Amino acid sequence: MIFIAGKQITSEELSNLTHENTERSILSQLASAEEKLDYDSSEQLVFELRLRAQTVAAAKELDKSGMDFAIFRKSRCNPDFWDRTAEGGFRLKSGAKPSEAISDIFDHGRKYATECATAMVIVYYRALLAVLGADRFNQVFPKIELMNWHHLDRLLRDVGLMKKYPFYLPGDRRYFANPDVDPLTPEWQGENVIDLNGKLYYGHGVGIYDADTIIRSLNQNRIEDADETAYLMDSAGRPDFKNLYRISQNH
Amino acid sequence: MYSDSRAPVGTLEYIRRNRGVNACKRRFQEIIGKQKEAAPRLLNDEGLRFATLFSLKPQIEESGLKDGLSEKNRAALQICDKVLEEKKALPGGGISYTDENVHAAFLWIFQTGAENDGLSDDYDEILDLSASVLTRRYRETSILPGLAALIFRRNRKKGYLHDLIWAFFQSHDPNALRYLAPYLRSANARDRELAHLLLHLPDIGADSRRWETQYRKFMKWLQDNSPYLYFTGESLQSSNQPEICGLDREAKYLCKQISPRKRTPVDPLTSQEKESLSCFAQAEESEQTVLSDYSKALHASNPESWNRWIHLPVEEQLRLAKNGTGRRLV
Repeated sequence: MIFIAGKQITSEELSNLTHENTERSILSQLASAEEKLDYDSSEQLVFELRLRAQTVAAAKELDKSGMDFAIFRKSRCNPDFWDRTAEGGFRLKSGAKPSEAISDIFDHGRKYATECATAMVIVYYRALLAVLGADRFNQVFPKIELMNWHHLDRLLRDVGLMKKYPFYLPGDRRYFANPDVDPLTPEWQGENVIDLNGKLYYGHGVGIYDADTIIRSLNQNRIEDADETAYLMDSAGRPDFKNLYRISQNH
Repeated sequence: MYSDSRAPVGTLEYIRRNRGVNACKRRFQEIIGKQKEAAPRLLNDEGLRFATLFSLKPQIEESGLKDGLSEKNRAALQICDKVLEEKKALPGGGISYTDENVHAAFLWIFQTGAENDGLSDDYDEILDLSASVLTRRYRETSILPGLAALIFRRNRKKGYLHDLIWAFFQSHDPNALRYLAPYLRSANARDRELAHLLLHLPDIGADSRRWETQYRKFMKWLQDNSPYLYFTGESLQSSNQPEICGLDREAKYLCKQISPRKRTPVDPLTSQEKESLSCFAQAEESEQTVLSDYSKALHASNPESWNRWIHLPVEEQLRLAKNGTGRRLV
């Protein structure tokens, strides 16, 4: 149930909010939820729909970008836009435009290699760039460091924080854990993914697949005496949509 | 076993430590050129540490000296090759983990190699993965104090930590947390920040007396709760604030130890325990905290009273618990 400014939204109002397919699908899931979902305004709700849809689009785009998978020790980036840190993360180069640096990852994916968590952060930055526009994006994110869930900009901190929710939606960041992974391949200890539509997930290095296929991939990289299967954790990292909406409005 | 940091003058180990890796490589090349048959004996010296073997690895291979090496050294070189393979063949990866020499080699790599952390990216990766094999595959808890120290040393150097931290928690040993706790009272802010992250505790500011209090409280908490702690599956790969270790309130209420890896009772639950748990489940979360804390304290101080208390209706248990601990429910 969606409430806007304390009033439950009607089906007619719902149908006028958006005509974009992914956004409509997310809206329909929100509307049919048993929980009461409060928004201050319809614009705030539309912002969430847009950011979620753009997250899905950015995930699909990153999958096709040619960016390689690499562990942090062997990560690489385009030095025109990024400095590689001692930990293996990427820090925005002094003088580089944040919007251009993020776009470069998608335009010249072959120049980049990183692991699955950092890829998720890149997806969210790309989605925010699409929603905010380059000028506002550059104002809001003048410094960027890409290193899994750490050194995250405070505006994106919630993406790195796993919480249990009553239901999950496209654009959520989820995690497949692999408790019995072979200790020589810690990169297979789990897979960070973007929920694309409740059935398919994008994971960097794995691709776009359903949960069973991702679990099978992880299980193939377990220790010989494994007795626990990989599984999708009942939690998600979710941007603070309301705060990001507020930021988008502060010109 | 490997604690002696001295090395006899003239050995390869001595040269590397006192004159550097390049001097060691030059001296080794001279030996290969003049008395190749002596080279394996020098490499098999008991005082040789992993950093020296690793530094000389290309020359050992180029000169065909591998066959003359001790089994432990041969296993160590095989481990290096395996870790640095671009795509690892799985599972197991072609290493005979059941071979005692392989186990000894992993242990030797970590125990003698940790002091030279930072020698190169490849070297650090071998250290990290050796640690994870030791904790996960061999359940080698003896390395945990050294592993904790290495994590915090590398953190001060701002190096890549996540695989080492992951290796530490692969031990699935709640008591290992005691090796992290002393860093809560470190004068170094990076140490404290990392300890807070790993132990899922809040930063309590700049007053050093409060750091000491937080450390003591944590150690007491660990002592009281370690049989009931389990590993949640969260990690730094999945979260920026992972709760790596959680407290099972049901286990504490029953005073029943659980497997920290699987969160299942070590001994199966009796029908009476199952019944007690179904009553416990009806209590509010804050009530469950009071009940489990009181149960543990009573069980430790007066097992007979506990045995009577645990069979009372849960409302009565709660009344006694509140009186007994003096705590009020919020």
